[in-house]
Amino acid sequence: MMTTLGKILMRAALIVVLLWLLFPIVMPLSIAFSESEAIAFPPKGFTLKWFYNVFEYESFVEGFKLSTTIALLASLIATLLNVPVSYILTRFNVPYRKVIERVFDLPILVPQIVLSFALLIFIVKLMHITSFVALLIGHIIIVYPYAMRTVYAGLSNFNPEIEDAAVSLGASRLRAFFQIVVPNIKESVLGAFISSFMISFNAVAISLFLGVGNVFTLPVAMLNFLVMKWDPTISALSFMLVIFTLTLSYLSEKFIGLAGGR
Amino acid sequence: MTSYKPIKLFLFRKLREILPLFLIIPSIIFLTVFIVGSLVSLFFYVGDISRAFVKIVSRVDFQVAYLRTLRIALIVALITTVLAYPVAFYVLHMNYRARQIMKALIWLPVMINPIVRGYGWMIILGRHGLVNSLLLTLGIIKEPIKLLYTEVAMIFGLTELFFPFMFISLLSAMENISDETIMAAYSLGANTFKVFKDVVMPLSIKGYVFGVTIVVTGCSTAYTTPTLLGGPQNATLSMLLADYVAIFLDWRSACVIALIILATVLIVSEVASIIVKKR
Repeated sequence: MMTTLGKILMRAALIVVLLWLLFPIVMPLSIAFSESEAIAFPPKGFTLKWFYNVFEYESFVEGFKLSTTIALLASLIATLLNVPVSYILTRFNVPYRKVIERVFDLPILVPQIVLSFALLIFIVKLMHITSFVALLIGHIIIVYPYAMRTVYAGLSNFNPEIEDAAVSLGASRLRAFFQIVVPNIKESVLGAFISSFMISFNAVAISLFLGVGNVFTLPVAMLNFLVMKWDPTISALSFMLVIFTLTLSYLSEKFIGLAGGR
Repeated sequence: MTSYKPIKLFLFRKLREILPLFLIIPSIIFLTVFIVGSLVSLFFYVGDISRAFVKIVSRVDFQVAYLRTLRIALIVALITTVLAYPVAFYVLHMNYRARQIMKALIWLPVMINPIVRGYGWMIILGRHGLVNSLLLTLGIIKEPIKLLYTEVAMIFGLTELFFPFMFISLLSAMENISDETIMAAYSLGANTFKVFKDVVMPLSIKGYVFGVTIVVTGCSTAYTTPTLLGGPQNATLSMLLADYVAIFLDWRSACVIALIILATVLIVSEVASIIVKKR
């Protein structure tokens, strides 16, 4: 059906794109085991010392702890705040719907770099909120739209008549929600939680601005490390992070896939 | 009082219907207070806004950064356009399983930590990196050429980051074109190129506008990738904002830069939504 030339050109474009997109992800992995001190390609020999280095470098260990804590809390709060919102927006006739939907567009509309600085002025400088809470608030805002997208999609795919049947059989709305709706959307909620976790865990700008003092998340610690020096420690850390990311995105894909397949 | 009971019941039912709506309120308050509040506090913090605006706009570092940001955003938009159309069209013709695998592979850069990605480009483009050692071994160059900390490096990194968005918007727009439409064009004798040019491209224009908006606004506000690959001498607007906050400690000017970034992004998205509505 396709002409040969068109096919060749399109295949060439696909190969260029895959190389362009995936090569920079593979490169750090390739020199994670290299014995050479400098960041140079091709790798020489085999060693695990860079992996030991990661755990000996305190900023990375502390950064990982902080990033995980913030990401867990932010995704949990964003998902919990969002479930009733998505439920109501998909089920009820809400007054001022257009205005309300605009509010939920705000976190996407305002660029992260602008939001980060604005929050620094508003909550750290003017409201004197501590760094940890400020960081948490910032992360909740940036993950909120991602949590919402997944939960909303899950609820839109769930047939409301099943729930109405439960209500007409005498269950209260609340009981119908917990016994009928929640079990049916739990995959999308879990998917929303995992993708929010990833977004928060990888966020740089927001943590850079709001983490005043000695509060560094892992990405910020990595950024500081790269500015100071270059050695394959960061390759070893990258290696672990890529595995971490692949595992989480596989899980989230599985849950969202399940929820979407309904 | 027999007539009282139904009214009470009615009110009770009405209340129970309205009550769940209140569950939206915590989210609305949270997002409005912190987002709108912080944007308003930008204005308050500047004080005399027109003076601060004139001061920053007349500075050479700002003008250079603004033009550089726009230039990079437009070049990346161009590259992603040229690559995403054929790739999306090609993936569209694949079977379901292959298409899912392609989507996952192309989406991967978005999920990966931005520092890991930037660091990957450093290994490729650095002084002793892959490209330089390859060119040296082949004898094409005598000594390493400067690739890292240039605009070219920034364009490479940003294209990697924003191609997936362009691809997904185009592909979902193309997936919405019914198979019958494309089949009809083929059976009426159109070749692949004609089908692409006269059927697929016009029918996926909304997806394209959506994708290009994400690319342009995303590139103009990205921070990590340009910082790692451009270095301080190639500051974009976001990097300049961070510099004014952390290095120059001139927060009033930083407020103005933040407002200018916000205005630019809002104008681009508004223009895009007008174009989409007109179609």
